[in-house]
Amino acid sequence: MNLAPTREAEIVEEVAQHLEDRYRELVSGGSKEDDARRLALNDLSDEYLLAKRLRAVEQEVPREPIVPGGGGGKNVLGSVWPDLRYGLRQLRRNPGFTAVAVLTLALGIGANTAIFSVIDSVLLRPLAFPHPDQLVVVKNGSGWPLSGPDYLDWQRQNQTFSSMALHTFGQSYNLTGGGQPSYVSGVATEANFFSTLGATPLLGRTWVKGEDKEGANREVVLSYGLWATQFAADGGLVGRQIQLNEQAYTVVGVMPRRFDFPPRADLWVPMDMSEKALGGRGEHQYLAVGRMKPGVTLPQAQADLSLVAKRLEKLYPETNTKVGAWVYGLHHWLIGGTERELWFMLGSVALVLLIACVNVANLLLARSAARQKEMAVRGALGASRGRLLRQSLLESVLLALLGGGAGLLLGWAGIRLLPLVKAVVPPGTPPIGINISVFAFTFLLALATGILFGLAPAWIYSRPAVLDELKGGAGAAVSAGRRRRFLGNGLVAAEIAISLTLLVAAGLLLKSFLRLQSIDFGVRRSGILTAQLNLPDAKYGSEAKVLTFTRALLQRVRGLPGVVSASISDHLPLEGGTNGTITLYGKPTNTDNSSEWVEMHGISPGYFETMDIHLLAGRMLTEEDTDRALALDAALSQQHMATEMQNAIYPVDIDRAMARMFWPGQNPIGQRFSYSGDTGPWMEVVGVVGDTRQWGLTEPPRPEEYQPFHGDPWGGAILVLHTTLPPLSLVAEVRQQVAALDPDLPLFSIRTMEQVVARQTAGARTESLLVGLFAGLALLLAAVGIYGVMAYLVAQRRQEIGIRMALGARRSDVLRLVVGRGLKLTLVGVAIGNAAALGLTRFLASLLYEVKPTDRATFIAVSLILTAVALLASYIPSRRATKVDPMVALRYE
Amino acid sequence: MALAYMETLASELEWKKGSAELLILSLVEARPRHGYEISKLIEHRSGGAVRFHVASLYPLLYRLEKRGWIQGQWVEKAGQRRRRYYRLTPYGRRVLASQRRGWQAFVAAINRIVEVEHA
Repeated sequence: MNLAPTREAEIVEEVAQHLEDRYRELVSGGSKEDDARRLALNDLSDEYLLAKRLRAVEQEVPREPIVPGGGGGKNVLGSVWPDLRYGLRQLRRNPGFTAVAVLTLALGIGANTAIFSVIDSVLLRPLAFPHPDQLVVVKNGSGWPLSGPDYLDWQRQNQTFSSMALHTFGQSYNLTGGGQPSYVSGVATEANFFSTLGATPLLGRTWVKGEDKEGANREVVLSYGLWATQFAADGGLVGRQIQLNEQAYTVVGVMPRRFDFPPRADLWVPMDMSEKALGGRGEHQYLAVGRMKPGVTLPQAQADLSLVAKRLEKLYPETNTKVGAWVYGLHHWLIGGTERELWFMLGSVALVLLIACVNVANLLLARSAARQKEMAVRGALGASRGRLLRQSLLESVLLALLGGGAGLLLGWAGIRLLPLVKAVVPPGTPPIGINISVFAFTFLLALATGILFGLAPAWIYSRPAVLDELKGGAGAAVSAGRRRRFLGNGLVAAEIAISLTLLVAAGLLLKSFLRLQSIDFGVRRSGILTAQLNLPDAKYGSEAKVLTFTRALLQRVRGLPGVVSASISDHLPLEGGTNGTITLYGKPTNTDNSSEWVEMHGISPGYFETMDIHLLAGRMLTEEDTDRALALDAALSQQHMATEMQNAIYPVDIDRAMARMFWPGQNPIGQRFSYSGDTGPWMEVVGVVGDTRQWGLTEPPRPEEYQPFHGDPWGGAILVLHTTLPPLSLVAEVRQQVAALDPDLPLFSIRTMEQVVARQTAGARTESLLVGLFAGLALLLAAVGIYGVMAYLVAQRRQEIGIRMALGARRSDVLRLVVGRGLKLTLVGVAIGNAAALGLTRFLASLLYEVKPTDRATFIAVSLILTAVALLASYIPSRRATKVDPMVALRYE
Repeated sequence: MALAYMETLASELEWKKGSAELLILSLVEARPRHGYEISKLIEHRSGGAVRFHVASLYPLLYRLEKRGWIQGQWVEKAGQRRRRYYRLTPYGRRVLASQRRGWQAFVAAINRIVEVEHA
């Protein structure tokens, strides 16, 4: 009409109101809906006349200035603004509709925002180092740690690295000298470690060249966290001394808050890079970080180091055969397996959002009957179809943006629940929160969402169907209604299919999680307290000293009220350990079993009782066995005579897996084996105990050998005790007992066995919990969707139902009619959903434990649950239908 | 033929316009009314003889508003769409009075003619 857009919007509103009034009056006067609509629109019989006359009246209104180059001379911005205001008014006028739609979208968008914020911080944000893409982790080909001499050769011979730095795994340090002793994790590094990473300190300095020489390693750089928590962020700390493992170290620097490499390190000390200290070529015990030269790609670096590894293989075949090289991007290495899980989560929430879109599209469709009149008026006023389409889309985008705003709030709240997600967030991840990129993601998502769910309804009610109706008669109206219904039904079936897919995924993950939970790993779960100690060399340099301490501690702890038994172990079940290959006595060089590894486990007497590991044959280790082992160690450390070695026989217990593997069908008691070829010393089996899982809940038991605990080379010792009280209630008393023996020894990593298990299942727990949450959300949204469509159907067919009942139909017939319709839609959705889920769940396979991605029971159960919910959702409106009073319904006719 | 039809239509429009203005002004004199109400009242009070199409009514309302005879205002009521109500302006009141006098004079004149013819 070329009027000022605001003016046009007002006219449309007023005329639409008029038509609506007329329509209502006709309907309440007894006209059929279709007739009423046609009669009402008859007033617009000549739409051009109205437009012409209005233009004549309004011609004095100044036209909007034409923007040069604007699409077809139309003032795009000028007319978007009033359309926007008009849209807002439409939303305000239907608060119920708007609230439901916005809430639905907010749930979908909020879930996506929360998950994306995790993805953003874990995957998308670059590491806080300069040129982070040049940084790589270097290991041996099998993923093993490096040996020192190999590393030095790699460092010297490579062509593709500008720098390479060696460091150790985290080592235990007791930090003492101020209040309660505490345990910290420290890493020894080559002098160029910080410069390779490109990291600069917050305070003081990092290493200078040559600081990694022998005897020059009494300096320490602290992490921000340690500096802040243990030293109250004291700015004058640099230059002062602190006590680590009973030795004085000088603080030379403090790293900034974001520096966290290797992850969770509390402090760094210089490494002794002398050849003597680095150890032999066969000793794989270090990690290394490298910086590739600018322009060098990962495959180039890989090829380069592989070449060096090949060279070393030729030179040192006995240690370097098949050792190889392995170069991996630092970021990817830090992220680990998290990446796929996170994308999987995002996929799940995307499906939830899709369902939300479908729901809102359905709401809009149901409303489209009413909106058609208004659209017809606009059409009559000369609005083009494109303009109508734009208006419709604008409204749905508006709705989506409101939903996006609310979703941002929900997402922000969702991030508070992130401790839940922590299991899948790798260490060193920048803080997760709503930042500009998350905000942009949400905004774009909302925009796309609005277009997605707005497109179908917009298409339908921007159709000049009503004008067609005037021209083409009732047929067009019927077909428009049918189109709408068909689309509505399709959308409902689609959302049932999508929620079925999600529910199946959740069901599979849950089943897998429950399987994990109920795995018998051979050890008592409840009533066990575990706590770690670090016995530094400076004070506990000999096995005898360690043993004196642990025996005294056990005696004290066993006397505590509520303690049933207590023991010392060098590691815990499920958390890995040390292993080696063995030689069987009397089978000089065994070839068949040479690749079989045996887990070594040092324990003090009482361990099997404490952990509830059953003795199957022979006897358990005793204090006498410990004494004997200690005496043998002492003798061997003085004389390495061949006869001494051959005669050194250590008593050990083994697990059933080991008995079966090495002595199948024989009595294992009295059998001997050695870790040092056929020279001895020998281990003699004195007992066989039940299997435990050493390397994780899902890893089957491996051959394991238990020897008397007499100190581990890194000073670690774990106290395990069985109590009838809540395990954690004993912590203070245990700590007192430790302090009574040595006030400088911190007790750390204090956990119940249940917590040890929980750490194993944390990932699975998070996955099943989150996907379950999303699936629940999907189910709820789908139920609301079905309910909405059925309620709309019932409202539309009121008269038909009334007539049926007047003609003698029973309530059950009506129920069957409506519920049957819902059931039909549901079954179509369930069928499609099953097919889709069959195709999609195989991506889950790697996350499942002993559950097939096509697990029939889960598919059936989920289909039944979904069908039941859908039936319930259509039962409620159908009950309302049976309450239709035939007379009242007929009076409408 | 076509020309004769056009002339009839034009004169009818001319005639209606004047009277239509009067009808609307009269109807909003007592209290503000919205468009649909106005059209209903016209139809109802004329016993269905006079009906305004949307295409006639609203352009006319806007024209009267533009002249300052009536004033439109959006009114929102709970649970309803907002509606535009039209009230008579003081200026419109004077116009109505003069139009009413003119109309009465016109009707009286016609009546006199019609009565004389029948006498």
